[in-house]
Amino acid sequence: MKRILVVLASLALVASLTACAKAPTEEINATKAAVDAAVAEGAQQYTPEDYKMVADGLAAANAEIKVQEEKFFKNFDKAKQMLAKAKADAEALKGKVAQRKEELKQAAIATLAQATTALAEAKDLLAKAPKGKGSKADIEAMQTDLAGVEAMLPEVQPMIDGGDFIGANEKANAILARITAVTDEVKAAIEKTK
Amino acid sequence: MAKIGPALRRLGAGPIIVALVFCLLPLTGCSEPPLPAEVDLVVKQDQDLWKVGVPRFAPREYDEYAAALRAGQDLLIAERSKFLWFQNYDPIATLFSELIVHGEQVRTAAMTAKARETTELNLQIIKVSERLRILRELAGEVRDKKLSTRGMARAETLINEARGHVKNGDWTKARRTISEASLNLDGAVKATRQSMARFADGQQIAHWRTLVANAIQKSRSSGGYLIVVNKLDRELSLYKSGQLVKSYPAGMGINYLTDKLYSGDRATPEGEYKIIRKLPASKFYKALLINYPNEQDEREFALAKRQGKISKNARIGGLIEIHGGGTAGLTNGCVALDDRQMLELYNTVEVGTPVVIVGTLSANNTLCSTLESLCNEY
Repeated sequence: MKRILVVLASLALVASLTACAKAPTEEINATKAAVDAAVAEGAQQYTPEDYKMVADGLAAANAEIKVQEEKFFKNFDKAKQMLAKAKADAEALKGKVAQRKEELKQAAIATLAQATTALAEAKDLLAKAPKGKGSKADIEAMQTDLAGVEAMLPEVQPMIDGGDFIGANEKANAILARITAVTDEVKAAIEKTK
Repeated sequence: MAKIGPALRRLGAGPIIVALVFCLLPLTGCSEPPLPAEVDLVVKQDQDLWKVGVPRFAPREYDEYAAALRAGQDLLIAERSKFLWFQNYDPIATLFSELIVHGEQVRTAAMTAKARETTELNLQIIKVSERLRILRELAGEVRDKKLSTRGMARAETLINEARGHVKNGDWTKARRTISEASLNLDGAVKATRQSMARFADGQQIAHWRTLVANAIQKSRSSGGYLIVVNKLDRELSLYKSGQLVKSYPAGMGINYLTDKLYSGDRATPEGEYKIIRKLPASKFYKALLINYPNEQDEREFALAKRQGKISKNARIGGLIEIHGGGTAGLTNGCVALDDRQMLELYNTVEVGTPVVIVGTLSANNTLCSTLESLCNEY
């Protein structure tokens, strides 16, 4: 009778050590949701290095869970800590991505505004340029150039609206560079007539 | 204590051992040995590969590496899941060492691909830029408005944009932008070729040559002067008795390569004319007025109106002169010389002197050959 009691006590001890530890399903789901939210915000595109760190953090936590699931005596404390960190990192990343996107958006908007102003100034300068015998042909060519670049300006805003901030920035910068080049040419042509 | 001893003896040794084992097992399971250093190195390597853009530059190679890494991590999980006494990390260390080598190979492949693609894209940019430069130079040389198109400005801006995409490592956008720049340039070249087709048309050039040859023959027969204006060469040549006396650089209008059709088109007429009046005090120093429009011009003007090619209200215009004022400027269809040379010409020729104006006399002219090379080379 006493032996039976000892065996039962041992089984109870084993059961208490194994059955109490359950995989942290809620934490896993919450962390995955946080990572997915960061991805949806554009983490892979805008902050790829940070995204990789967060994804690796989640993968490491999942590995730890798998290890514990296979163990006779399960302990998910470490996995929970890892998940908590990965979740916090993912949430921070989402904020960082949003901030980076906003920075790029503002940069694109600023460059577009700069290009628009530069275009108006170039047109003004061109209109005031003396169309003398020595500069008329150059000025006509520059007008055509400016008209060509002006036609590209409306392409930038839809890119900003569509969330392609990097592309919008590149286009706006390229347009600005061309307008600046034409402005320099206009100034040179004016200088030629003096 | 004296009472515990007999109690334990009554239970026997078996249950005590069982209890001890269960007490010790959790303790041993809590302290895992450190993982091989290679595991951490691979994790860091993978992050570094990602950082330098390996998945973008060598996606296939990186996928293979990532698959091998996943397999290695699965083995690591399996090993870690074993009881401490049965864990053996030696094969894991070996596997992860191999992964490090694999990762470095993938890095090399990615960097090679990156260098190759960047070089290729930069070459494409250089090619488009070179075509653009040639077209711009031609436009600067010929100075006809048809050679200065919006397409060129757009192509130039797109090339700038493509450079930015290459710098960012965004090859897809770079390729797309270069392609768009090239298409715009193709359009500019095509439009220029169409509008300048007469300068590559053998029959047209033969006609111009015949006009000049006949006029030179007449000059030779009569012993008189003859003025020949070659529009593409921007040159006015003076003949006497069929012999070339002198050639002068000539300036013309923004649309000078087109045959004049109506007033305000700023084109220079083509055909056989003659000086009908000498103007000693012109707005542009001195001038020789020619008889534009002649009968041929009037026929062509009437036909263009009937065909709706020009406005019903268009007028044929006139007052086409050879005048001074310099060659650098733009005329509205007249032919301009520098004042000193104008004086020389003015003093040499008389009213009635024939004037032949042609597009070109060369079948392999600059305009034609440059545009052909822009079309054929790329």
